[in-house]
Amino acid sequence: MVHKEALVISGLKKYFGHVKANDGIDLVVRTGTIHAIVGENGAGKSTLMNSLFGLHQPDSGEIYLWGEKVLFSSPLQALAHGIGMVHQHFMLVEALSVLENIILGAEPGKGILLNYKNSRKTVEEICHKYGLELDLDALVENVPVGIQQRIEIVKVLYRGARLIILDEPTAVLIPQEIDRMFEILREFKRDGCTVIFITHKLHEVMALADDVTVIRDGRTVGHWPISQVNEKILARQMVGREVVLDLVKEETKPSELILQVQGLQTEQVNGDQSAEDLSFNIRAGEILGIVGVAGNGQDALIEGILGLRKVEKGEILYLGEAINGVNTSHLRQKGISCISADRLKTGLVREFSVRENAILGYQKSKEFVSKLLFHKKKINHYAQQIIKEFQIKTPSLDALITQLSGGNQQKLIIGRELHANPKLIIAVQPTRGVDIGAIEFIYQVLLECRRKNAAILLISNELEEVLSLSDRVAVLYQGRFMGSNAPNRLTKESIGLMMAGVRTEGEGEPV
Amino acid sequence: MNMNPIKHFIWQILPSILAVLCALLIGAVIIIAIGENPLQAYTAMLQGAFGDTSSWAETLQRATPYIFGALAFLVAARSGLFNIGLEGQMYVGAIAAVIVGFSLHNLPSFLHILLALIAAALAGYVWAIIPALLKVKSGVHEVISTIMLNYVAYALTAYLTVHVYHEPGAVAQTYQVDPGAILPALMPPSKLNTGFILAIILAIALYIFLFHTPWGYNLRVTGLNPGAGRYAGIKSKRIILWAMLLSGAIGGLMGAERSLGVYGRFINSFSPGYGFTAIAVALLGQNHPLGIIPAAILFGALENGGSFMSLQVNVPRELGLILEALIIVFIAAEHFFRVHLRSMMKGDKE
Repeated sequence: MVHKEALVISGLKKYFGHVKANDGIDLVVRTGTIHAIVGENGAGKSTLMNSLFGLHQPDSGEIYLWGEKVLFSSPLQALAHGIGMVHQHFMLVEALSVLENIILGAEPGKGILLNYKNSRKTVEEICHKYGLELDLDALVENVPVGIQQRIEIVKVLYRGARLIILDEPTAVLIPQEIDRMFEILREFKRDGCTVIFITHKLHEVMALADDVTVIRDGRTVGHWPISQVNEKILARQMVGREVVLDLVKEETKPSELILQVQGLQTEQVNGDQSAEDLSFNIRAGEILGIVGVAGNGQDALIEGILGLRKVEKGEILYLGEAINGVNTSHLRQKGISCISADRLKTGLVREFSVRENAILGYQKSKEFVSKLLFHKKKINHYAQQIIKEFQIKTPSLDALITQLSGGNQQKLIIGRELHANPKLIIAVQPTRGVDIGAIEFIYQVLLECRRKNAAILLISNELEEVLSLSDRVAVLYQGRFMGSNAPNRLTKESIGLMMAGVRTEGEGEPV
Repeated sequence: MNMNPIKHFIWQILPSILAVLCALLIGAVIIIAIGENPLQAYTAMLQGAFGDTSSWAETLQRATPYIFGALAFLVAARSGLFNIGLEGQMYVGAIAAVIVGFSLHNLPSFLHILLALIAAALAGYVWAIIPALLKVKSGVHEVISTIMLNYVAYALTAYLTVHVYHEPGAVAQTYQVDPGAILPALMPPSKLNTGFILAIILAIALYIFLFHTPWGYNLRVTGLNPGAGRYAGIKSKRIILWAMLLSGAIGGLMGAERSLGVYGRFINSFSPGYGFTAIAVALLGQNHPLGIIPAAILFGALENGGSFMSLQVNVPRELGLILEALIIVFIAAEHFFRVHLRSMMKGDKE
């Protein structure tokens, strides 16, 4: 007989030195249900899952799997006990085929020879059963992200997992794919599998889960059947206070043209999607939102404007002046700033202090340098000012940037990029990986810039974000715009179709 | 976790201190195995290195090439390059300085030395142009190109020494330089010379450059996170080019100090591997222009103290070199120290 509770965790603690990553987690997951775990970034969700999956050992607390007390010292043991995990970042070998990736680590056959025939049959059966279509012989590197995730899921099923953990699975999917994924997860449930679904998107929890557990600051703050909660309650539990995400968007009258892009075509770089004949305008006091599945030319667009990627055709006019190929640091001086997509890759230097990071991109600006040397007093004054203005929590100016939480790192970048009152702000995933409190703050800051007549190009994978902030939304697919419109004239379905490359009629107004 | 500046400083230098302590510990085991008292041996070593002014002078003399070399290495390293071609840059610098030294006569000494040093820096610079351009233009890894150029430098200087500027006699060496081109000794009879002071001035200048100017800032950003540098408008290729050339020029100066200050001429293959040991010194000094000074003095002390110790107790002078080698091993394990100490002391959140 199958035990009633697939997973019970009680009093789990995991400390890293002084940092209490998990400080008393209780979790009860009923067999055959979909259980959502929600919490802000840094709340301890990943640490919890890593303890469960055997990636590290908890300091105290107990884990029961189908009634049996377990403690895994490696993921292999967890796999052997029927736990499967689909990570947020896929763990696939690009140069191998889909089939090879699925059987990797659990290769059938005797001795050194692989038995592909049997495994192919097994995999095909799994795919067929759940309607997961896969071309088993395609190379992973040629497969879109949505499909890569499907491979990860089949991989987990192939290993016979009965408890499937998905970490932020919808981040890379378009709305239709998300619906499809939910169906598949419900199918698993009908089959008696248990699903743990980690997310920060509350509407997904409401749509999918049977039960929900909220984690804050390393502790379980509560768990409920989904019928007893709503998004508002969950948000309050996650943050620990009332959250207002209803934005007050004042009417603005878009005035002068700030940026005009005509037929932008960028150079092809390392197989990255180039921009293909993109044209759009942004006026002062206007937010143009761009959505699209990651990897559809977003980088090319941003880097083309910023002079970081060669423009092969077309024209970029900023305040009426051509800026094709102008160096980024000149553009910054002219009032173009950029909140880049990945803080730690392109926005900050990990090894630098808060102070040093606060001037990145403006290090040669006259306000910071006098007689060839940095003017320490002025830099300190400036850094203190943005810390105060943008409510950045930091131990000191000398603290390493990595000592700050993701939200505070992001606020530092935003403070830095906005301090010189830019006329054009390119904001790429401005709220990626930050907590709700910071999201609220960042939205307000962006709207304030809009009110102060800045032109904003907002590029994001968070559909909700783009729809609620933007004055116009354009959908990017394979380097081209599939259509654009005011957000209130677009539906999620029509955007999803455009994100998948379907040009819907009547929505191709000039951007 | 909040760290005050002193704590931060200790945290920074801890791996280096640990590397030295571990090396001394293993050295002690070796001394015991030989049948001597490690405390006695180390005391003798300390005395030999710092016992009186002349031993200080000798220690600093031996430390000087390591200061130059480590500075050369760290400038490149801070921009993300591993310049393993210091030995070659040093050789061409040494011979260029000597050629200027014996070719010109009757110049004011100050001017003569200045010209010889400029020649050395230029020679090192030229030696670094090739790998720098190869790196920037076609992505050739600098480790390969600089190491190859070391061999070209050995061969070139050997050719010049034996066939072009050979001083008659059995030794493969060039003519002596004009007396005016000799770097004045600071504490004769020690060979410690004004090159040491130049090295210290250079270290301070590089410290200011790296940590207090926008150009040094750009150089460090390029080495640490080129992606962030790109979005900040830093032209990493240009930075890499200049860092490598600066590194080569300082490498050339390292050679000039030896040839003008110690030998007064170029002696074929004079170096016991200064250019390579300097890399270890740079790492021990955490690639910090001021940190490498004590590191270089430590290496000078190990070599100098080792000689003295072998006269006092029955431990061969090579113990000094063994300690150097052990420090290199433990510094190479620095990553281990950092990662494990950190997880022991604080740990990473998620």
